[in-house]
Amino acid sequence: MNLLSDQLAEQFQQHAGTLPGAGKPRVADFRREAFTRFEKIGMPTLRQEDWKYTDIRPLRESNYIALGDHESVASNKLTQADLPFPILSSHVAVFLDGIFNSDLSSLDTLPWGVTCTTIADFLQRDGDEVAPFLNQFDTAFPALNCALVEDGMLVQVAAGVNFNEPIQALYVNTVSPGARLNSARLIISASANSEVTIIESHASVAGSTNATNALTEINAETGANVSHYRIQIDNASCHHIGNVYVAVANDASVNTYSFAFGGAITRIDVNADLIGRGAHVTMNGLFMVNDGQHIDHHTRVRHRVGETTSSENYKGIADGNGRGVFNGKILVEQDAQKIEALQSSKNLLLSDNAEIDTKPELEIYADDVKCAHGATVGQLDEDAFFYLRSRGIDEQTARSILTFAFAADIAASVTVAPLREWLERIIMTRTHAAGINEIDDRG
Amino acid sequence: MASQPQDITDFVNRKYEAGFYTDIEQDSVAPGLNPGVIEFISKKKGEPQWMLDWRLKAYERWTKMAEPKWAHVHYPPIDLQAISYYSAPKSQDDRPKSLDEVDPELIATYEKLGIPLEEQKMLAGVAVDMVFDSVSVHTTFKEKLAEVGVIFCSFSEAVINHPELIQRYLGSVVPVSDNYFAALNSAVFTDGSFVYIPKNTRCPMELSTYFRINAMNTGQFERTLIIADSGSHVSYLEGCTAPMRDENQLHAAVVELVALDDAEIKYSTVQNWYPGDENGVGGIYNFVTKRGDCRGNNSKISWTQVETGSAITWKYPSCILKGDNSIGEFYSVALARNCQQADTGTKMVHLGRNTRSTIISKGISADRGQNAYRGLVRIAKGATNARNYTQCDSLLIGDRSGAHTFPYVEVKNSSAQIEHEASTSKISDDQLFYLRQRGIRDEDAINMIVNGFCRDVFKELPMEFAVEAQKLLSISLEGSIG
Repeated sequence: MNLLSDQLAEQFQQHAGTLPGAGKPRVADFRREAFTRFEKIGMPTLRQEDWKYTDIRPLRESNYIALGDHESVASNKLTQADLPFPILSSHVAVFLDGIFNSDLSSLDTLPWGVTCTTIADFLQRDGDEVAPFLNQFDTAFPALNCALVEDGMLVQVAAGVNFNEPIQALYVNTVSPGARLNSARLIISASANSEVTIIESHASVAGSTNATNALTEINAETGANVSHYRIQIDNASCHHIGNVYVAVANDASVNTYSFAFGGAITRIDVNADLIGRGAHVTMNGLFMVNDGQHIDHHTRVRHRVGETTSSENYKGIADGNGRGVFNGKILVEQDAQKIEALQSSKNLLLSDNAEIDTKPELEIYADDVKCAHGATVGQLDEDAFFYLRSRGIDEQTARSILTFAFAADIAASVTVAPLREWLERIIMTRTHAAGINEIDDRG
Repeated sequence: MASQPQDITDFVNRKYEAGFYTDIEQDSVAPGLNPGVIEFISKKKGEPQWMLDWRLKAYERWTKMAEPKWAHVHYPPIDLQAISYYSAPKSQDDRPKSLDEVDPELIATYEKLGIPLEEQKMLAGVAVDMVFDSVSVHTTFKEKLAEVGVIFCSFSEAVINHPELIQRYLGSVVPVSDNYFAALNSAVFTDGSFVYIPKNTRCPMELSTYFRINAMNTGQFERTLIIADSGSHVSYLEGCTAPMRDENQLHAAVVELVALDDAEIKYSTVQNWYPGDENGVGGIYNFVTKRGDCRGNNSKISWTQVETGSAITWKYPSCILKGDNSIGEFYSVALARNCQQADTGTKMVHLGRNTRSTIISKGISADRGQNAYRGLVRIAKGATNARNYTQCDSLLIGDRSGAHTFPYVEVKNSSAQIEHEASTSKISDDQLFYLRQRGIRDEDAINMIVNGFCRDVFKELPMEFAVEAQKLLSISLEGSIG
């Protein structure tokens, strides 16, 4: 047994009785089973194929407080101005070290049909209502989140409701007395023919050494339309583990974006299951790594039935001694005919000490399909570079312009204007700057 | 799926055409694997002590290893203790001096396969080193090759006659501890081919080996070692067929290529071992380790393979691009039909500066065939200006077939340019319709489309093989339609 899992077992035993929903047998049993699963699976190691390129030893062998002791967090008097990430919407829920903070949040102006409930409140309810929460997982970190999660947000959109304004969930790692492992949770449930846009943002206050284990579930029912933007930007000493699970029903469509600007170790898994005919998923992503950073994206699109489509576009930029990993898988199940699936992974390697590992996979068990993937690793186009230089643009600026242009097309497809502008600004800053820590990430 | 024309059924029901069995008295060792068996093999072959020591060391390592499970293939566990590790045609002691002395049954076997030795000699100008089960019984054109100093002989002969070369290069590309099956091969290999091309020599003809697995329950463990000294060039052909039988046979060969400065090795394979019947019964397990080492500057190693046989194919002909400006190439057509499973691909490890590699892989899956491409492109930190282009395309025929792609790309140098693309689709109805409405029969249309699909690989094959490969593919795919 390694260090962190021992601590977690101890903490779980100690706090299980006081976690939200502890009084409700369904929830309590669910947590216990999830923890048993986590213990059975164990913390990932490099020996596992899915973790071949990401060594989480620094996380696995550290001390973290995962449960309880929220008083010290509450004493952290943060104002909106102190937040390490901008508020991009008038509907925002802020979580400090995983716990909902009502002072910093504003969810009062949501229209009829759109409800945001905190997970802590939600789990106090009884009966079948909690069902959306009760999905078990077969991988370590989601299982751990299910067992330990204390708060988070459930967004429910009623059938036929089209809500065009984005809802933002902001998860903040604060400076706490001991390093914390925060469980962040987001559940998006879009009923038939509804439409909703969610911004899921993860950031940390300067000086924080906390880690995040985030779990997001998106369920798009028949004809629903969900846009999900996930942004992660942490301190150099914060680790981040994120898991996104998407289920798309008949004629529904989900766009899920992941923008990762890293912390220390960042690992984000995005899984989409296309379970009804006409379902579509778009998965786009951008990551930028620099000194001391490691960002690993694992995506998986599973075409479970015929006549479903997916398109995926991920870009990565590795500079300094950073390491970027992309592993994308398209799986077409037997008898899932008439599939179109596209995947692209393009990477820019800017330094000899940086590393890119990419693995685009196809696993196809049906024949009437059109599936393609492409992957590239390279550097800036010499001709374009020369062109800019010949117009009197200095080397550094020319590099920045080209690097920005490489990354910006993913950001350009973001339809939420304030988010797009923030992203463009951060990409601009990152492509200009040598170091990472001195950048004002708030833009 | 729309209903399929009769041709498909014909194709599916087609029997393995090279399936027959030659009854020759075998000089075999009892099944099982232990140091005693290795000593028996070594003694039987009159090997020097160092060779035996090397085998025993490999055996030692092997006992500590576990069978790998990561490949995308499924098969019942192999009982390695149920295999006989040595079988040789009887007439070992008095080796034939000319063709007339060769066991007529052996000759008959090859004639049935349509490769009469005389014709091979005359028409193709190819020196054939036949491996009939485990002992090489006939080598042709030796004299002609000897004139220019090329050594082309069976592995056992090389151990006796060229120990310095063997000791220097054996295991230097595929170390005994490389993988489970390579270690097993190192311990028990019975024979194979050895080629040495001296400095600044262009091998005057294409070298060729026909492998044939014959005796019941005998796993074949060949060992091939090809050394191209500075400035030399050689093209090597390997082709195989095996008789029909109902028991799975293990084939775990090791092929090592070494290219020194400015040398070039072209290695072509047409593999058509018995794939098992339509229910997946029988067939060869083909677990092969093939690796080339571009050890010298400006060297080049090119692998071309056409894989249509075997129940399970599991091989990754790879290139270690150690020398500056060295080039690695991999061209592959892999066909999996009925219950065949193929997990094949390549590794290109870029270590030297200005190294280049090209990977073209074409997978065809029909019926319940499962075809996986698994490749690695690794650019080491010091490999400046490395370049790789990878293309893997899959063609699916039938709704129970599968095509999978697992490419690994690892880049540690910022001057590298890596491109990978892959696509999977069935034969398009538009293409078929176009050809049909011009009065081309279904069967010919499919052939035409498939041949076009594979053209990039076929054009890399030497003439003789290109013809054989196209024939093989059209036999295998006759009448199939997507």
